[in-house]
Amino acid sequence: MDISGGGTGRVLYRILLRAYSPSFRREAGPELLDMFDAARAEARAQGGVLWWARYWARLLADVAVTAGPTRWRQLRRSDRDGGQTVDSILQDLRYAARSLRRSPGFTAVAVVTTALGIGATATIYSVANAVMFRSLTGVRDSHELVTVHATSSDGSSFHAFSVPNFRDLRAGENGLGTLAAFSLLQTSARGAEESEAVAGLMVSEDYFRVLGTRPALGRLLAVGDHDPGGGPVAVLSHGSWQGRFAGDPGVVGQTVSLGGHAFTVVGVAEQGFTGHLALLDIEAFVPLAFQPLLEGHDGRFLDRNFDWLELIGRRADGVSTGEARAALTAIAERLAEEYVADNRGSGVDVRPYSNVFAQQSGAVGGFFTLLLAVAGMVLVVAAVNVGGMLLARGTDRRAEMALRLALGARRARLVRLMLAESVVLFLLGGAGGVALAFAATAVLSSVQLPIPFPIIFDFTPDRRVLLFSLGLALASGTVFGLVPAMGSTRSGLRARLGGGGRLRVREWFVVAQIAVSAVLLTGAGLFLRSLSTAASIDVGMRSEDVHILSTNVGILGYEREKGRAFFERLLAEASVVPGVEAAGLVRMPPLTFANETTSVPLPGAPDGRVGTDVNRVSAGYFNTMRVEIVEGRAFRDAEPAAVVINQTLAARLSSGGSSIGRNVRLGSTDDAPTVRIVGVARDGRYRSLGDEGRSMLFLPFSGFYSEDMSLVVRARGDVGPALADLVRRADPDLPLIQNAAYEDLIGLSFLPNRVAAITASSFGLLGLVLSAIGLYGVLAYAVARRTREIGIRLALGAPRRSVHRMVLRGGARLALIGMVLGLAGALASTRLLRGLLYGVSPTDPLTLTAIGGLLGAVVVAACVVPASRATRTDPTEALRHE
Amino acid sequence: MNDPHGGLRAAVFEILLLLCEEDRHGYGLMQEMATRSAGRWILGPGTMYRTLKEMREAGWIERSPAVARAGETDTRRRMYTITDRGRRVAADEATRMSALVERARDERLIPPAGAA
Repeated sequence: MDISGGGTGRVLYRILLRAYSPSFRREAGPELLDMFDAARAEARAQGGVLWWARYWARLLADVAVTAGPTRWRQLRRSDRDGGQTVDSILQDLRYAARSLRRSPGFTAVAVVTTALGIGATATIYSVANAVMFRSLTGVRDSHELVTVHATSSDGSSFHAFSVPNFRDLRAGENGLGTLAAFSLLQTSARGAEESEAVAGLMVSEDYFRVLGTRPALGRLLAVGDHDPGGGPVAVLSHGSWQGRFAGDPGVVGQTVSLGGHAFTVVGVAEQGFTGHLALLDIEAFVPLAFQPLLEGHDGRFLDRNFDWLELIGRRADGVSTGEARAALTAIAERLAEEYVADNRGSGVDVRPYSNVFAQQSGAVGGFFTLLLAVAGMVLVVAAVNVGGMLLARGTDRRAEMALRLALGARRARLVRLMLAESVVLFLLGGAGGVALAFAATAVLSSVQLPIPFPIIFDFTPDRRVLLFSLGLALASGTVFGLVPAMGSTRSGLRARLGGGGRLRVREWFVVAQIAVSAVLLTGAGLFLRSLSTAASIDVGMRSEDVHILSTNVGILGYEREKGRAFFERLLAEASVVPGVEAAGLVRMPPLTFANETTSVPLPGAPDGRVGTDVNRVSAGYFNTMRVEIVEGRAFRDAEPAAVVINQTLAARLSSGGSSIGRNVRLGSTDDAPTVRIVGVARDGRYRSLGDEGRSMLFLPFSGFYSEDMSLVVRARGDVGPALADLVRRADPDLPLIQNAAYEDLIGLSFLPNRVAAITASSFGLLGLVLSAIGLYGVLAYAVARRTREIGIRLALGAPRRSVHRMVLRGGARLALIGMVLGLAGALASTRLLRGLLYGVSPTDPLTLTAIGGLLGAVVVAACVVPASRATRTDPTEALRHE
Repeated sequence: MNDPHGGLRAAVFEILLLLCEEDRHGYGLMQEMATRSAGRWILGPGTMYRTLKEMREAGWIERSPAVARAGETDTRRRMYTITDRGRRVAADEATRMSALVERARDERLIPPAGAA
């Protein structure tokens, strides 16, 4: 469905327009619609993540702010014509408050129920708001910012740039006021006792100018700082200054140890600024020029083929994102012609800046949409509950209402009176919900994730969340209060008698409740099933009892030989630590999203080559991780040019025959090494649980050195401290990026799924409890209303069993209709879930059956108790009941 | 229509300036304001309409009578024209603002005129 615009968008806006007074609508409606079209066209041109969500939020706010006054004027006009509307609204509110105070039990249950629904929604919205929408401190006029990505000939985007390409893009007519480059830096800072891993950002000259960041102390980086001859300098984040220097006002000019090198602090960035990416806690900003010092590579600055820079820029005045893209593309095309060998087929892609890494913003947006939908359903269940309660209350007051009508009160006035009650209830519930959201986000903000970068979560609700909750409370109070209000003020014979076979309003409430609960519970059930399936996926290795320790000797600028010697010694010493059964080295630990790729020759493929993931491991890796070799053998550490491939790659390389003994050339450059295949390993999951059928090539560490390696050991007991000791004794400046049980590390791989499952199942449970309470309440009430009828039946000799059956039949009918509608809704919404489910079909019959059974049980329980209470009543007592 | 600091609200001033260039309808005003501010300034239709209405009531702008246009099904676009009084108000505002800018220059907040 295209809810962004077009026909549907216009229809939605037309519905929104009903919030304005009729006379205003007549007068301004066509123009408003016309302006809506203009705003939509413009918003769409801006594009960006969830642009329509923001756009509709703006529209809603616009209507909310401007519709009220037109209604107010309408009321005043009617007052002038003899009505007493304005005063009477205040009167209504006072009356509502009084009447709610008189029934504290009812009020408390209704407020708590509403608070749970609004709290759940506001919490999820707070998190989404913090991750996606909230503008970061120190990033100014972010709507003018764009991120620039390289595209490759296969059409894929989000690639990095080399330094020469960055410089050429920056120098040309690119439509940008400023363009800056940055690269994430994993480094260490020397603390009081030991080195700890910190996140830094290596930035080009204009980084702070692009963002508009200001210094809190000293100055930000200047052009002169980017001369490698000038001595290393750094700008600290405000938090780092407070934490490492205790906020010492004389910090400028002092040094901070990064990666074992002394960097002179030239300034502190403004408070709250931790880089332009949400969640990442960047502590230090250093000029790109010091990359060789910090990471130990050289020659990156001249190599047009070495892509490692991400770009962010600010559009020049009056230049649209599209125009900037066109201008940058023209430069990229020129570069591709000029440097055929390095730049062939590469282009640029320009996107509006977003807080999250651009390559993930789509997935993150979808994830939050899903969570918001789940929370929204909890709110609907809660609101339906309260609606049902109000309905019951309204029915009790029919006599009062009828009397008022008879005495000359207008029906509209009475509806408003009851509406005032529900709005007050929902506003109280909204306040409670916001309090809940504050508490829940405080808990969420303190969560620590097992990832190698320090991150900060601050999900505290802001003004946007408060407005959102207020809007929710008002809207649901009006919608769910209106139906009961209309129902209980309906007069006349038809209302008294009710329809024969058709459902009454109250019964529709029950049906709606069951339907929404069925959708919620189906989602929850699917996630739980998917979690247990994911745990049993064959990942091609065994991670239990494995401990992992990661470090990066590049941080201290180790030369290749020194680094190799360090890792070989670490491996040898770790193997003899008590309790260690096997040990190996690995560059990209599986299921941590890390990856490295190359290509190997494949006759018949386009370009004659096929891409594959690669990993650098020591010979001991296969045994340590229990990676099974199904053909040939594992390589030995003394064979620097022997490789192992997985079954998928083997099948691709040799259709039918064996690939053992074949020589392949890695990569397509002139100096590409040739290696010999000695074994085939069983297929596994490499980057994440989701990747099935990915080809993999294991390179020997002895021939393919890398400075960022992880030690994996299979051991009984906690060997973490012993392993950390080995590293510390070898070099106290070397930070441990990771020292944890492997299972904890790969927990991250399950994270989106797990978060969705926890949210869906806890919300599902909440929904179930709420709807059970609601069902029970509504059914019990219905039975109680029939006490007299039941008494007559019993007095006339009806067996208790048949009365029981009658009540149950009534409940079962509603449950059935509700479940059919709910399951249909669940099936319709599974498209949203597909990406997050592993190994479970969205239409999993087991889950659907279980949910049906569970809801059925709740309905039976909700019917049995009131039914038996009704049949236990003394017929004479019951007859007196009215 | 005035902001708390004594000047015109920015949106009002912007609308007056746009209408000094040429007569426009609501759609055109919306689009122009959004484009010129690179999308930042998307006034909602309700706010825009209210602002225009206030300006009409103050006699700064006028609206053409409704005319059904050929080819447009249910939309009636009405042109807005600036009045002489509107021009005077805009000119006064511009004078006030340039006096402020002069003061900012005197305080060396921004470079002197012509120095860019």
